[in-house]
Amino acid sequence: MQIRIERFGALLLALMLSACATPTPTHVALATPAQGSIASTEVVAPIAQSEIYIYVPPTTAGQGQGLIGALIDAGVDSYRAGTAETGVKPLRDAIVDMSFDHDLASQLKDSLSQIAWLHLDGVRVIKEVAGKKIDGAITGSKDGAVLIAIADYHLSNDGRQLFITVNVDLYPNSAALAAFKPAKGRPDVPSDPSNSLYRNTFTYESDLPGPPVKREINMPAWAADNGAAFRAAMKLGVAKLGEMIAMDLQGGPPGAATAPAGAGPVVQGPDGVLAREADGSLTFTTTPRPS
Amino acid sequence: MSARPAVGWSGRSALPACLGLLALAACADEPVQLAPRYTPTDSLAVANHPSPAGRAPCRVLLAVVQDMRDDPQAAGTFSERFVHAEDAPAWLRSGLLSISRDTRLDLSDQTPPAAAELLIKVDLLKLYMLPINEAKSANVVIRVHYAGPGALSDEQVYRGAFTSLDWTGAGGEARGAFDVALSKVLEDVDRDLVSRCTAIGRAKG
Repeated sequence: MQIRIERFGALLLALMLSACATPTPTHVALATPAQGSIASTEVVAPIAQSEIYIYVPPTTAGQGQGLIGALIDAGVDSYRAGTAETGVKPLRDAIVDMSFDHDLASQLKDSLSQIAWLHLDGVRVIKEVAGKKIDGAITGSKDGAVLIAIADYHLSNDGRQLFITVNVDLYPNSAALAAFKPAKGRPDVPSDPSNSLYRNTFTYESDLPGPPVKREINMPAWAADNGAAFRAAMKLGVAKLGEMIAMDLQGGPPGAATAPAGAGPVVQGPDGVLAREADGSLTFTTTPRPS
Repeated sequence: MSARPAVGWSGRSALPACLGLLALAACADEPVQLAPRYTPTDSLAVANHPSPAGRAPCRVLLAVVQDMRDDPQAAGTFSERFVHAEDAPAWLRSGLLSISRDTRLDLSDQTPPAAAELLIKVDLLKLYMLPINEAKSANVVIRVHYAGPGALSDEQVYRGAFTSLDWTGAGGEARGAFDVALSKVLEDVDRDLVSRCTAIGRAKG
């Protein structure tokens, strides 16, 4: 009986904790009065990868089959990883001179320096993406605010879609911004999302033209002509992401305030469609070019 | 009926297991360090070439090994641990010097420039470990600048990669994967060196 009461108590506690743990929303708008309290901002872009990769979904067929199932899954994972790495090699070779890190840092500098109240001090890339490293980047910064922009770029498993994603969080790092710290923030973990003054997720998607085909056909299309299609898609993507981040930091695109969330296209341009998703994140999808 | 482990845990057996797990957890934060020197692998073909008959080995000077990476420390992740590679230029240099096991070549970083038939300068462009689900992929990319009297000055990019299952998560496994990736680069560099030396020899008559 005692065990049952303990179990019940533990269950009750777990339920209470889960009710308290409200996830931080994807999109948190910056309070307008906070803008005036930002003396300077450093942008830190953690980018773990060194080159483009193909996303390989994890194998789960062996789940529930014990050790044998786990071993089979691991073997399948390894095989798929090998074919993906072999498949992306010609593209990597074609664009070995490209530096996404430099391109994104340069774009963020250009786009965010146009926001006067941000007082952009500098942009730097770090290659090790981990909570403690990002905590250190925030607390070690001499600037009053630190904008963390975690970036990733990859191709879909079939190689047809290019995705560039940037998760942006603006953290306070000065007494002047203390008043704007969220009440439910975690002071012991500076990079915890609950401490963000502003946050959002930005996604750029560019698909190869034509009907869906296999990776073996898609990868040469990206790599052809010294990676021309890939270079063009990445260049546009980095530029669009810079625009989107700067625009959203300042309150969103024209008309966004009146448009209901998840209403679909916010801006339809010659290059593609900018849409605000139901969670407030922004996605730019390119208009497919004729093949 | 819920699925439970067949083996029960007593307090006595659980303690060392927990201590072991704690020790492993402590290790898990430690970065994996790249080996200071390249260890040749069996797949490296350069060791198996016959000695040149009546012909002196081609003298190649390894003039420079430069690290062109933006971050000389970070080299990706392996089993949720960072990989550090501050010693990458020394590791790469030792790998390149191991090409001299090919008896057709006399590759050294001590050869006087005037005595060298071929001179190479090497840039380390990329070195990283990429985790892919249960697998790991080690990647090495270098650029070799070729020059020398009577040799065409040009450059070539070489890539070596090795993808395999992440078996143990131990540092030695990661270091071994980098060595295998580099061995593929070295095979290609060796082939090109021999080819260029042969062309130089023909031009000399």
